[in-house]
Amino acid sequence: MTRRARITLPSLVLLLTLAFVWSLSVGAVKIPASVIINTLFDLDGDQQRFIINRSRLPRSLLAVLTGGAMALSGVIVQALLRNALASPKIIGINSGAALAVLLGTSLAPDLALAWLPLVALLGGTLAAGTIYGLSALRPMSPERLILVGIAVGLVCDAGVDFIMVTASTFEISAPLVWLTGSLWARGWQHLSAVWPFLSLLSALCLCLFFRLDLMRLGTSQATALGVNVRLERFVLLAIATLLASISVSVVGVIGFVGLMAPHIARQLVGGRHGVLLPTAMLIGALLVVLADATGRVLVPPLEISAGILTALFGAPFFVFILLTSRMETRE
Amino acid sequence: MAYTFKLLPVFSAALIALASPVLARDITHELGTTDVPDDPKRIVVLEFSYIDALASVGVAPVGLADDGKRDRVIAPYIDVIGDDWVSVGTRKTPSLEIIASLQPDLIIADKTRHTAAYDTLSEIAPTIVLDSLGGDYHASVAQMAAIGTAIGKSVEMEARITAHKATMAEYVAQIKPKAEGIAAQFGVTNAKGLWLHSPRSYNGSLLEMFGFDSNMETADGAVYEKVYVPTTLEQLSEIDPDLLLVGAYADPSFVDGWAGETLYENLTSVKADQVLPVTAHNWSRLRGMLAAEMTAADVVRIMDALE
Repeated sequence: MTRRARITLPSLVLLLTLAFVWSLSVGAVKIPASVIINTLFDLDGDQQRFIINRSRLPRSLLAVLTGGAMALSGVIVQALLRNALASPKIIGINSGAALAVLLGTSLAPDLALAWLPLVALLGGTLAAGTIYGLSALRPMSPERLILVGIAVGLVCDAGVDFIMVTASTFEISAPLVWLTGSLWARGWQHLSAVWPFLSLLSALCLCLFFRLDLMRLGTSQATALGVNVRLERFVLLAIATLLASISVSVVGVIGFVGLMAPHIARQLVGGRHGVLLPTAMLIGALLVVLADATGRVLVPPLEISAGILTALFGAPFFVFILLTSRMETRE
Repeated sequence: MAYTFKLLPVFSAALIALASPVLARDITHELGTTDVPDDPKRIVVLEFSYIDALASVGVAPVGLADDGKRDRVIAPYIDVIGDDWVSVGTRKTPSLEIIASLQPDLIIADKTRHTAAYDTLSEIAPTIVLDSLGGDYHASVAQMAAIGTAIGKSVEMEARITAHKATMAEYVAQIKPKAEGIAAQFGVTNAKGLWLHSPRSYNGSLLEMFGFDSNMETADGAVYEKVYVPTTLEQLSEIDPDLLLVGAYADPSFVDGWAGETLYENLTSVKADQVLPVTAHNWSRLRGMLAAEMTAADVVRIMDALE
């Protein structure tokens, strides 16, 4: 672990903790710190059980979990495809999930809402599966996978546009809230549905750092080092797909986290996956927690979708870090 | 001991009899059955039509979704419910924190918008869900009765509904002779497009009740997407109503931009100078009894002016 990583990782943990505490303490309703502490630890005093325990706490935990998962997914995809522009979106997850949700709601309006997460998960994995299947027809190359991914993504996007135009509604309805990526009305039931999968997959992903280091060398070198590239690529892509699809299914299409967090992390600690993965995960979590909390306090009682704010926060920092970084820190 | 057991059925029967007023307060709604307190005092409503319902029987909500703009709650409602209510944010994503902080004992939500939040809302307070956005006028009046029962004012609400039906019958009597054989159409327009309210919609069903024809194909099933139909100029020229009532949310609106185009100038309603403005907010966002009476008064004025 480099000196930079020794400083960066603990700082990020501290920042995330602070952001988490901030997220618990802000919202449309102002609650004094003493009441928050009393409620959290079930001490004596005024209780704000719903707002703290049932709303802010599960929302913030969900933000940490999904933000981290989307960032990890981004790191895997970028490592496998060896392309700086790659993100979970490239393997069609966002578009596939979005199309599935809109199809579901327009074909079966009564059924869709409760089943939205499952439909999204199905759409995301189906799109990723299609991309992987199509690009495996010929000897696999990262370039082909990216191009097939873009093509499948475009078809899904066209489908989304088609449904939006033909069945568009003047008043924006529930699926559209989901499409902008929002943690509104998310609670323990959502958290309990995804946390076992997300934490297991995230842990698995963190353990696989050395395989990613090998994959980053490229197909021929990795093969020469005895890696079963085909199998490992499939397994790693499957993990990335599940991480992103499960996240998207519960918090909606929160843009840019999967693209930005890995890049920001790489500029901070370099490209070795042993430190890159946890750093990216912390940054992804930080981005989503901040975006969700800010969305709640910016213009209360109105809520700004986290998906809008992650882009707004992340993009300037992202550009700044790219412009100020030196070339040698890029790898 | 045996004696006690013999008495048990009697006790149970007495208990059931005592409990029955509470059972009658089980409200069946779009998403199930909810046990509502006998006399809810702190009510939060998440659609404008529910404000109409509360105002109809003189009940003020503690919180309502006004989309963050207090003037969206029009003066006739304010006259009844006052100005002490708290805004809970948008109808689309109302702030659950604000709702919880109001400590409501009843929440009234909309099927299209709030189904995803139903479980969470139910954790805060007993929640009933009605189909305001997707329902027509007759459904809206039926919802008024349901809300009357839910807030423990069924008698007052029934009386108000009876009075409302009489008022509407008078309006219909005034409008119907003049509406004979006229195809009328209502639509809202902003800067981006025109949305026609189909015969299945709230406004569409009102126009039908007033005796107007509709040239819009009747959509099967009251699916939300088919209630409000995005419409191009070509589609409008196919529908070609005799009377086009337009509620504009933007100035200039998308429809204004059609002026001068042959297709638009050849519309029957344009040639007859029968494209008439109505208040978009009142017609499009508000539904209910007072809202319907305001719409009816608008139509009476419009038909008088046309003569």
